[in-house]
Amino acid sequence: MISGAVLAGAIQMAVPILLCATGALLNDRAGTTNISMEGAMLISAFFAVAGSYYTSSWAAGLIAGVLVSVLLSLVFFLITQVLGGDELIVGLSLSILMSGLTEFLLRQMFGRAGSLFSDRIQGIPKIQSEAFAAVPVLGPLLNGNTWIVYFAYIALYLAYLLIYRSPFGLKILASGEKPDAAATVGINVVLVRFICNLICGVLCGLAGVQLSIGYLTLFTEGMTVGRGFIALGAVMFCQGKPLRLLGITLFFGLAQSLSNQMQLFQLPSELVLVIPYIAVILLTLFHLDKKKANSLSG
Amino acid sequence: MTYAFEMRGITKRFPGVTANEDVSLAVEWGTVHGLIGENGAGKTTLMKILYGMYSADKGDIFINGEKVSLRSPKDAIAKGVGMVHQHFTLVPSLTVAQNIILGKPVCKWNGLVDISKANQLVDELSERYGMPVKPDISVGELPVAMQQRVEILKALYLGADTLIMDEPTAVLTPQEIERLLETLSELRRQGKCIVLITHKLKELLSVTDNITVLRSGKVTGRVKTSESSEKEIAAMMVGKEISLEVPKGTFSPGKDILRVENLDCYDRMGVHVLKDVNFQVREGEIVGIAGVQGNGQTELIEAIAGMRSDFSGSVTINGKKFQAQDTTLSRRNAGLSHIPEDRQKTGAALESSILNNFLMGGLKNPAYTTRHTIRYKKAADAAQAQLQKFDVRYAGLNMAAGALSGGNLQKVIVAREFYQEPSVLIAAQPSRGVDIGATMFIHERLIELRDSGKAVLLVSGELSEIMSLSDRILVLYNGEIVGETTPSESTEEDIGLLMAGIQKKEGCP
Amino acid sequence: MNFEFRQKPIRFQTAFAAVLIGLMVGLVAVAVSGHDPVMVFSALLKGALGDPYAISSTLRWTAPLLISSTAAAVCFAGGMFNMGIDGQLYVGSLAGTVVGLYLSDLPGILLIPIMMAVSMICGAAWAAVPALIRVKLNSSEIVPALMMNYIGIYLTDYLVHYHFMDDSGLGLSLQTSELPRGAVFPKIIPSLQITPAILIGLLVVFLFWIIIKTSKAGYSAILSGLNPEFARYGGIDVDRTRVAVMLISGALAGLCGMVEILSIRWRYESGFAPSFGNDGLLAALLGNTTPLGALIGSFFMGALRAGSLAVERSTDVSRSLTVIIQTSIICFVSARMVSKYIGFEAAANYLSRFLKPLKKKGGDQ
Repeated sequence: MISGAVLAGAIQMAVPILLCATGALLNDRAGTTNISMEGAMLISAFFAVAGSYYTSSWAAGLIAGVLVSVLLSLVFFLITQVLGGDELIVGLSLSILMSGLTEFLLRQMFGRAGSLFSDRIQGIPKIQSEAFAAVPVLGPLLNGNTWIVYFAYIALYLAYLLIYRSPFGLKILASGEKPDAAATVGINVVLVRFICNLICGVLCGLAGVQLSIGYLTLFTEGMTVGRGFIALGAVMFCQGKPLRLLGITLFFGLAQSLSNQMQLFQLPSELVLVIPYIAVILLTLFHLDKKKANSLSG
Repeated sequence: MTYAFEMRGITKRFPGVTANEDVSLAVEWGTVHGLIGENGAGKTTLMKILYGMYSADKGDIFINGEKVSLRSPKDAIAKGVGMVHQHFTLVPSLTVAQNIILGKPVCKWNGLVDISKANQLVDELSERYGMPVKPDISVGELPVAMQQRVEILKALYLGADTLIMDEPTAVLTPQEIERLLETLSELRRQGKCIVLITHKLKELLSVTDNITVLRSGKVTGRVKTSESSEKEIAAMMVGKEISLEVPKGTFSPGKDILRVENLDCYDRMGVHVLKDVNFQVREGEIVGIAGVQGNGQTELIEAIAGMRSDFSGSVTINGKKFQAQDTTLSRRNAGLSHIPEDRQKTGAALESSILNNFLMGGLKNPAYTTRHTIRYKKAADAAQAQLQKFDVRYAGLNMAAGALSGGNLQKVIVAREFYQEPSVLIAAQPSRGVDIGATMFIHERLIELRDSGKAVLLVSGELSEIMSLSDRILVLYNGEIVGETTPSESTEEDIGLLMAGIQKKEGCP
Repeated sequence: MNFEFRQKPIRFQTAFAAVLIGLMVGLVAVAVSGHDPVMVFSALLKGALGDPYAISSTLRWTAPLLISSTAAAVCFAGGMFNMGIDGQLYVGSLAGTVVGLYLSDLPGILLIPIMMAVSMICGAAWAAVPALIRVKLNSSEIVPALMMNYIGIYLTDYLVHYHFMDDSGLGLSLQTSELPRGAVFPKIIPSLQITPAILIGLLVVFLFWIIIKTSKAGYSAILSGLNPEFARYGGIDVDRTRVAVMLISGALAGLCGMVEILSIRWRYESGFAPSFGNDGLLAALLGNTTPLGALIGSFFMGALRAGSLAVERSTDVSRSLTVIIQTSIICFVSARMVSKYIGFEAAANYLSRFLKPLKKKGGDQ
């Protein structure tokens, strides 16, 4: 059943999770636990559709979606770092707030409940290139994607360079592992975390945009279906290793793509849709080097 | 001549405490200045002000003759001040070189970190000051003395001309201390100004040029080292001559109460932290475990108390044999009590009430519990009486334990552990961070317990505490017992050599 | 990442400031969407507390929240974070309902307790997965619990869809057949929505209070939550406590769904308890995870929901207004500095100075 279509699907379906997870990786290394990514994705998906609806331009939708997500990350930062809120609680409630807000706005702005689709919503163009098609084996996988798909994989590489190769990366790692130590050599830990959080906001925004006007051109309430949390799981299990993160997200992408494929075979959709979530649980059960997980979660 | 730095009339208040009051201090280039005082005298606070971590409420700071305002460590570093903190500020997963360049990274043309150049810089630096280190090893894998070296190099890399060292010898063996003092002399020769914070007199006298004594936030003495004596400085530190000797009853040990057999343990990282440890503690005896911090003491205590389950061998308490899988509770029921090493993390729930803290470990006590319930009213009466007996100062039993001072909190813990009438007591670092009065009080209680025929296992990093309390002393080095002696048989120097693993006593493996 | 959650005491000033901010956010949301905030909020108040029908509606929503907020609070107290209440609720209540349908010949007085017991057992079983992941693998329970939500929701949908679908109706909605009339809760006051559910909710909170106040188990749970290392040192089996609070929490989640079905729905419908889990979490957090707090928090959230449903009926403002207000409040509840920044601290101090003499007078009489 693992055909080229499934693989191509995996590479595509992994993208929102990958973008989110890359953002979360930055936050994780810098010492912030931001679990509002689910909400950030959802609200940016909504505003991408709304922006595209009102202007008939996918670019406007994209900008609207990313801006709102960034705004949300700023709110998270304000409440947790400036006002002293608990990261878990604020992250959770912002996540729920966003699901409520999208419902509210859907109703007030469009008078709809459930979902929004319209001809006026313009999707992000999909790239078809002769050059890609010429690549052996991978060729068919590369074509027919939006630029966000390619960017997601590049973003992970950039994040790797930023964290492990750049001078700023040293500051990130120090701020995350031992903030006191960072502060004593004159590093502004709050600023480092702020920047990471901001980048995470941009990435989650792109993930949401890809969900709503990248794959399709519609918005559905709760359309992120836990991808933000799956990304969180991926970051927990990758223990700071970008390559492992890529592997895990592709695995989730594969599970999702497989479940889409299986639906075509008329299997009960509920049992198929559940696959990615079971995959996370299984990953928890089987993940290796437990020792290090202790230091991360404890 | 200009001073390296000068602090004039510094006053710093925290809620409820005045840490420094009108303190002035001036230090010349090319000297080592000792800053001495008891725990809580305000030494560290004063130096954190100089390093820009706190800002003074009143007073001025001059560095190299120029008046400065230091709002963060960044400002202080820019003015050439460096500080080596008591608790190291290194990032364990980063390499030595990465840690050293953290505050001022070196980059390649493309903006990424130039790690080979960083390694080279570290090599140069360590050669210049005579402190060899390997630049590409993770700091977490280094022994403590090496980590300290990295800390010093880090400060020097950032351009420190004035170097503050906060209690640098607390974690070192006597021989490592020797090396450190040599390094400091070398730095002095190169014209640096060094401030040495400590509460240990001896090392102070051997290396410093001048000494300032602080007591409860105020300067109580300034002397030239060459014109002073240990006794004079001690008097300035405590305000009055006191004797640390606690009178003991005659030593007449009974039968074994605590027996530790073939205790062997590998920690999470696979390090062999306890190597076939065997000993026993008898009725009416205090056995002291001496050793430099991190030589297996923590693991030993946890294994005896049942707080870890990754060891082999057995612990026998009052004739009952316990192994790794047996719980803490079963040992407590057999008559074990335990004053833990870290009172804030293990010994108390700081957010919870004093009463709840007092109840811990006593859920089987028939005086205030039934099978499934706790009778809080009776428990409160019991707590009140016991805390009074232990001279704890508190506002009410519902007050959060975290609001107590260190000494009072420690007394609550001691009172609690004594209330269960143990036949064996593990006392780990019973006087760490506690003022002299409370220390004396706790020492008296421990002696009392011994005199009443109970067994006490004392684990402490303060050799003087071990010497004055113990009937027998065991020295733990690198996870094994390398020597057994008594306070009358050996001097502190002898034991120091054992602690450093340099010399093994005959008859020990 | 740090998933260790420690509830810190919430001061009254902070909670009050948070509620004000939450209502303000709601106000702005209403105003921006082009409605008259004063009108909407007075409709909200009227819909929550304005007349006996409104109050009965508030109590109707308070009842399940009492149970789900206790479910959340029990877990918080023991130092665990149960993000999987929704999944436990659906799985538990479907199991209870199915048992009820199979044993429909039994008299209600027997069948109702059986259904409740089954729902609790299955809810607890669903919660066991994250609990065991926490204590056996030493991994965080939060993400697995969230995943168990999705798994539970899809699984129950599948079971209803392919095995227990009500085929008598015309529609295609995912639901089971109705429970026998004798095996559901009667209305205490005819014409109003008040059923024994509210009593069960109060009983649950009361039991929670008793356990915390008097039992060794309660003491062990709270101290494990505050400082697990200290608890372990004192001889408390922290892992067992953690599993226990999670299982109790799961059982209560199952019970919450079952009670909702017994008192209102009379059958299992897909998605019948939207956001009960989240609302429970939020109510518990607002109430500082204490029993009294759960009571107040649930009532407040229940009133908010009843009010917003009334608003949705009379205007076209979405009921999600509740979610916006609730979550904004919770965002700020833990933000301990907030009352300081908005100058609330000074106001509260002033007020308490003013109130003190009054209190003293009250004491003299």
